[in-house]
Amino acid sequence: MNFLRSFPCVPLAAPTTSAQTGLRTLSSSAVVCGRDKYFKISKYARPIDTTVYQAGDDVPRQTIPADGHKYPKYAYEPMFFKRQNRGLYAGLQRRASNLCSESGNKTKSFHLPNVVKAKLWSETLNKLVCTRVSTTLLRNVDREGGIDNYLLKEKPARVKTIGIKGWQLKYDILKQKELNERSQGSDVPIYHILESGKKITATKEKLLELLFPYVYRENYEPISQKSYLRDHSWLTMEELVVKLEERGFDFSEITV
Amino acid sequence: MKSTSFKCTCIISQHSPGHVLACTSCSRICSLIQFHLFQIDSHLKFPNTNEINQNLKHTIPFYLTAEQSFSWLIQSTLSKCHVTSLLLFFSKLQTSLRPISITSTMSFKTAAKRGQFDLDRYVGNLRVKTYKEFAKHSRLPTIPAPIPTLRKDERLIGEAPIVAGDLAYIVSGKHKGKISRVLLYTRDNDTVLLNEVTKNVVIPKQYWAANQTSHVLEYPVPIPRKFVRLAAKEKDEKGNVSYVVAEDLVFKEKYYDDRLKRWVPRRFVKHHENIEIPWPSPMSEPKDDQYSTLTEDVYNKTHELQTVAKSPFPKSVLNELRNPYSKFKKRELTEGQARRLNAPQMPLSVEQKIYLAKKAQTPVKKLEPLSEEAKDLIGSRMAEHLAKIKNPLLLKHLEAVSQKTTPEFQRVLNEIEGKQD
Repeated sequence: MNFLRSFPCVPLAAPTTSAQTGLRTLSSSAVVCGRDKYFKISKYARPIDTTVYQAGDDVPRQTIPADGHKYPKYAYEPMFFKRQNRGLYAGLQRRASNLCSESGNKTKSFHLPNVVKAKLWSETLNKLVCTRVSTTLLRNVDREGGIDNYLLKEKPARVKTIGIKGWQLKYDILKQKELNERSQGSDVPIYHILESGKKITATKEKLLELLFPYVYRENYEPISQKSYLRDHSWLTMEELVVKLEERGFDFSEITV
Repeated sequence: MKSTSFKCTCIISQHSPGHVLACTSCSRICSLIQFHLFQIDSHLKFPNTNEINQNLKHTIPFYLTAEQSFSWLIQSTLSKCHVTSLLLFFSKLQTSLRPISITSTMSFKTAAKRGQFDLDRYVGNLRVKTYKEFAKHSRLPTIPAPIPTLRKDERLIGEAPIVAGDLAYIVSGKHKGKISRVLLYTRDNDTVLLNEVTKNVVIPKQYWAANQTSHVLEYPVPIPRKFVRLAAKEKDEKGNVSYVVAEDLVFKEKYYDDRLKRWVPRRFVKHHENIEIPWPSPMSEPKDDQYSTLTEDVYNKTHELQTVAKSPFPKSVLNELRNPYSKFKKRELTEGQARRLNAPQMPLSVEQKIYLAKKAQTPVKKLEPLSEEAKDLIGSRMAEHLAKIKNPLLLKHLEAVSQKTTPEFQRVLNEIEGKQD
């Protein structure tokens, strides 16, 4: 493999020579070095539930999460070697082989991926991500130029090998990117843009807090914070803004 | 695996007429023992509580389950409590130490059952031995030993072939050839008690029955059912009495027996099915006592629906009658539940957005019917090709193939037609 790496990058568009000298194999092998190994993962992943539930549907068998799902569902979670859910393993799993004696007795032996602890700097999140990683991932991250680029690559192989941890980081990064894009040219982060063009600088939690006194007053009996959140915490930013607008809320303090 | 045990410390204090039992951790177990001690006390009236305290240590640490303590309670109350039996009780408690191990996923009830005594776990001779060992505590030594109970799967199912009041012919043993009346049939150990198979037993005065006058009592000995056969008395026209002994029985259609107040099958002698052996009348008529419901109460109508406007039940009872949490009830998702079940979507990356924007710009491919020119061209090419073929079989084959349409081809055709509509 190493001697293949030492070859200079051969241009792919050389149809005349490739057939004769086998250059094509050489050039593709150079690509193989950085290829994500995902074949096992796609084989051993369970299908996820992609049903979009609506009010009035039958209650499904699965338990309803109390606070809802925080992250999107990941379709390539393998059914074994679960520690890869907690780190960035680049799709590496435990491999098995047989030690074969001269008399033909086979002894199973297992090979774990080379895993180290690492702190990776995320440009978008502006913080260190401390996880266990496989050394293969460190090489891949170097090649991609940072953990963000590594995670945000959209090739199917990359999506399959980043694992749950990577998938969640990816979601965080993309959300942060959206936020950054929205609040460009502003000193404070902008969480929502109203139809009128005004930009809301309050988080969803803050909006919920602002709505609470209105809902409290509307109810005949006093309601607790808990029951209020049970009925309102799942509302989207847009819906909360609409609710506040209906009640004549003055947005001047939380808009730019 | 987490292992815990319940350590109870009994403290016998002297300040009360009874003996107060205090427990450091588990009140339930100790309350039973307390009850036990009170029973002893009320029964015997200890002259001096110091007598116990001298013999017992002040604190007795032991491990036991509630069931264990309860069984000891019964046993020792049967064997006439006095101080020595009480001491025995505590010494037995100490010998039967059994720590209860509970795994994190196991309920206390399940854990407590794990190491408990269960006769069904013993088989063969060990079962008999264990049963006898346990039965010792529940009877006087002079009373004949009971026969071990059968395992649940070995027990007789369905109608009992022999009941109290029947005649039984003994086929084996010391009393072989006797015909006697059955006093009791026990399903648990498949035995019968017979009127004439008894043993003289000496009974201490404290165990005498209400109208007993002698220390010696005739006590029936249990006989396994396999050693007896059902017998029936027969009287002919001349008044001669003869007996019919049934080796085996067959049960036939059921009828309502007014004496027994229930539906019972008719029983016949096997292979002589013209001989019916009627069920005996019950040995004793059921008597009314303080707990029995009177006949007039049964027929008395105590509740009547007065109006449809008002519910006959209080509102709070309705949920108990119709379980709102039943798993058979279909329930619908609320808005909040539906939202919580739906996971958020992964935002699109820049590349994906660009790709989708480009895709939106490119016009959608439209399927249109072939033009006349194209049809002509295809027709002429096909005719050329067919003209070259000389083999009639191949031509036939091509003809047959041309009649067939694949689903995909059909779908495209439909799409074209549908678009034209």
